[in-house]
Amino acid sequence: MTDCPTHDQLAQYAEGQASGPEAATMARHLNDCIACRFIVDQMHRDNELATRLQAVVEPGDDPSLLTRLRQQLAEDYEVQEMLGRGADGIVFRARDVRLNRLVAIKCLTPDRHGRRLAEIFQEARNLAKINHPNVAAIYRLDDEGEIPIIVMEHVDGLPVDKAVVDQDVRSQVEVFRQVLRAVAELHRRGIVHRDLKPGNILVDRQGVVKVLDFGIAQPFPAEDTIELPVPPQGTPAYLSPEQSRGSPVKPSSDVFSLGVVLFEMLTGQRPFVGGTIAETIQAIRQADPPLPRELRPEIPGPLQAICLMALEKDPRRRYPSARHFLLDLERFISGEAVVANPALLKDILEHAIDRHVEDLSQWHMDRLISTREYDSFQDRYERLRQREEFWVLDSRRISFSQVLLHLGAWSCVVAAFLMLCFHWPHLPSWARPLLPWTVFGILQAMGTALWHRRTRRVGIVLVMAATLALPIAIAATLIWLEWPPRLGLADDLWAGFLTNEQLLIAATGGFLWSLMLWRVTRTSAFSLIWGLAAIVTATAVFTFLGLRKQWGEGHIDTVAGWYLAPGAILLALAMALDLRWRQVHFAGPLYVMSVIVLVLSMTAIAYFGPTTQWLGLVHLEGEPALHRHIKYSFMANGVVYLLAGLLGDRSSRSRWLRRIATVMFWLAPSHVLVPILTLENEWAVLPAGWTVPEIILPLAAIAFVFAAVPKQMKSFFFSGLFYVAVSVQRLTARHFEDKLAWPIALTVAGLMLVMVAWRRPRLFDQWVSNGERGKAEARAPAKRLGHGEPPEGAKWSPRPDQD
Amino acid sequence: MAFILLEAVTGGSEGRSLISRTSTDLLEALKNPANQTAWGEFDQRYRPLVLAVARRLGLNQADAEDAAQETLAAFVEAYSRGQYDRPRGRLRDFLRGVACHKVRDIQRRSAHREKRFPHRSDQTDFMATIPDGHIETVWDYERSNAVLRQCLQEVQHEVSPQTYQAFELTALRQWEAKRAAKHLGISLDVVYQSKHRVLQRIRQLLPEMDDAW
Repeated sequence: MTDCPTHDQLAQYAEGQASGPEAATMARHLNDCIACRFIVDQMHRDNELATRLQAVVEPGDDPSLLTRLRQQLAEDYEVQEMLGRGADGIVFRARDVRLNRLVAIKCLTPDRHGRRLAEIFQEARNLAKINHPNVAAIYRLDDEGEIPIIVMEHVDGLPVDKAVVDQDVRSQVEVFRQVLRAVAELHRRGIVHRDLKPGNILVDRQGVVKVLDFGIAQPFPAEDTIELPVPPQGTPAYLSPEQSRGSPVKPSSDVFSLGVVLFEMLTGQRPFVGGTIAETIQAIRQADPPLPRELRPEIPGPLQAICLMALEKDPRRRYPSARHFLLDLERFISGEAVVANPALLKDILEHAIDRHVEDLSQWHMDRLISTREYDSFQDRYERLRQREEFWVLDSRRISFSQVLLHLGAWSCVVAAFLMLCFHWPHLPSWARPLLPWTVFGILQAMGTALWHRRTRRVGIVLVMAATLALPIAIAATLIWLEWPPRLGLADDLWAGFLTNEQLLIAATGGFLWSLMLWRVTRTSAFSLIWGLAAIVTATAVFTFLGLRKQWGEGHIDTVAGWYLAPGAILLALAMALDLRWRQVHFAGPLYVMSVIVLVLSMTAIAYFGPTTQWLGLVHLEGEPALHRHIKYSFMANGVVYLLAGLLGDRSSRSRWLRRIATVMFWLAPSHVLVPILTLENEWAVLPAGWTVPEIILPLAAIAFVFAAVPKQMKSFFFSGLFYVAVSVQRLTARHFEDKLAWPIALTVAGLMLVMVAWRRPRLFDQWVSNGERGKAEARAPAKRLGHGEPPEGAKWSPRPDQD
Repeated sequence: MAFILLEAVTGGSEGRSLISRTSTDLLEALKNPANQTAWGEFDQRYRPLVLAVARRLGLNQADAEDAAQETLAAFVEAYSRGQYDRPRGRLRDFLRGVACHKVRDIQRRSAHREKRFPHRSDQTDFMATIPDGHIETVWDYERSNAVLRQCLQEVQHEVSPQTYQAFELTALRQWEAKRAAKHLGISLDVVYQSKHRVLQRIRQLLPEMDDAW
């Protein structure tokens, strides 16, 4: 017979559900086709009914087995009754006569399945290394006796699904946590269980979980060593989709089986149900599981997310291993946010967010919420939508292990740096670059390996440290080689250690390397590293312009002026990433860095710069430096910040620009008002000893307070109020000291303002809001139209004119 | 009342299929205290079940046998006094209640005895307290095993010895089909046919048997 039956037909037959003629045809086919026979035999072995039947019959095929076993083990064990059958043999209960404890003895009968004894024993040896309270221990292996045996811990317990019936969710989760701990340990050792089901997870009477029967557990192979096709093994209801297709099995397959177990523990039913094996497999491959909370409303939402995450069809979307599963479950237990973000929930969430965002923009237009509130909502929704991979969350979490990791990597980098910043006279010159290169090599190799093995939490830290170590290594090598020859354009920045040329080469090396890693890893951490490398490289370039000389001579404003260039470039790049390429999470760190560089530079220019010459207005000889420079240049900066803030605030497309605008609006008032405060002496003095700045300061402060209204700017409001107080204090000191009428007048004026605000609250508000609303409508007419028509069914609202 | 049970056991079944009696029929037959067949059937059905449950709950063999004996005796007494009311619950639920009570009782006694004579090797594990619902779960588990055993017996009566043997070797003893065929001197397709037929029949029997028990 040439045409083999389909997998589903074979499954139906194996379950004893084929019709009479079909069964006869199939039996004849099996007579001839060794491949189908193999598959059907496997299916038979995993058939749930057959497994249950095997468990209830006594071992009768080899009556002498028990006798022979008793003879073989007479000195050590008192063999009692049969416990059941595993994939590789029969298991007996026995008592260890020396230690007086119960054990389970598995008698291996490998000839049945063609598995080599050596292979089974090798697996058992791997398992024997595991010493975990939740993994059934292996006490002894004996492949030399007449009957090969494995002596294991005896577990007297119930299957986990039966043991937790009627328990509350919290206790069930605690039990499941033990299961995860056990499987995480297996995965850590490179072992995939492949047959996780309640029957293999027992809970003893003390409530301790034991994972057992590693009959088909095997070390997970490298992908290229898989021999296809692998027939599906395991109990169908707990098979992962990839196992059911015979694809290579990875730890994530165990995660799926565990997800099914968790689902069953929580809800009392299986997520994928079918009348036959074929239907069950079909459901596993295609059907969405029901939402656990619909079956049992007291299941918390995060726990549901965790369960569904484990049940993802695509193994890449599941937890990669039991450890990640465990970490997330522990987050849930300790009340932290979980990272599980299953596709099923995500779809539901996306729809809800879309609806809500539409509502939000409508509310925003109706001025029910401010722009800032609108932004912050959008921000949160964005975060929900593009939740980063969970290793990112893991690596950002300041846990003990993460701190240790950073500290360790940082120590390596610092050690490499020591080679650079001391002369080490007793060390041969070639030895100096050796340590930095070793540090770089080890960190980079380990980091890359871990990154590819999906232990990204650790990998990213090591690769970042390696990126810091690379320029150090390059610099150390160049020092050893005494290359390149000096151009002698300017004094060396770091004279005696490193020439400018060497600094430039090393910095450029680090810059390019970080750029490459940014492209490869595509993580926002590397946009930060790359930004830093760019600033360092810019510094190396500036050394040729005479950075050291300028600095030494006190021309700090000139140096600061140079740094405006990289700051502006970073800002432009961040804006391009944000607005053009929509890579918002890469743009964030660059925005922050560029703003810091620009603000620091501008402040340095304002402070150290030749203010008076620039404006050419007044001569301030003899005044202290702070007063002399702080005046006009700081005010100029304030105006720049104000303009930048206004520009950023107008950007409806970028939340980051709006956020920067907020920072600018906090900086601007002080930059404008503090100089006015110091402007006292040089301006025209009015009659009676009054000066212009004295009058301007309170007016300007009040102007800022009122300017806060249209855009709801708390920065203006609070700064203005603060400087109102400062200016009143100064006026009092100069002109009204000892005059009681002044505070009384202030109090009366204050009370009058209060009265106006109380009795005529709409005096200004209406005017302002009318103007603003007109603008908002003009800005977004299209969106407005979308909501203009009342929806169908909205016409029920009672109309006052009908009364 | 125990002697009735003992007699019933020794009186034995006639090797007849047990599925013919639902628990309703069985109860009807039990109304006659002299119907030894019925009492034998009752004992055969439920004694191993209580025994297995008690063993699984940690009682030693002797205690478990006591528990089984006391459970069945309690039922006989309740039934003869008319305390067992069919409409109020199924027979198995009634028995489960009695068995749970007896097992707990024996555990308590055993704990007391253990305090006086510690360090006996074959002790009943009384230290572990049995959580609520645990006994019931164990009962259901053992009961479903008993039903499966019954199905196997029933099927054995229905099919030819060779068919059953082929099924037994391949499905229950997990022999390879080839080895079974050689052992029985039949062709490979007959082995597969037999296995399929028996499995199919058990699948049909299972719900009926479950209901009858």
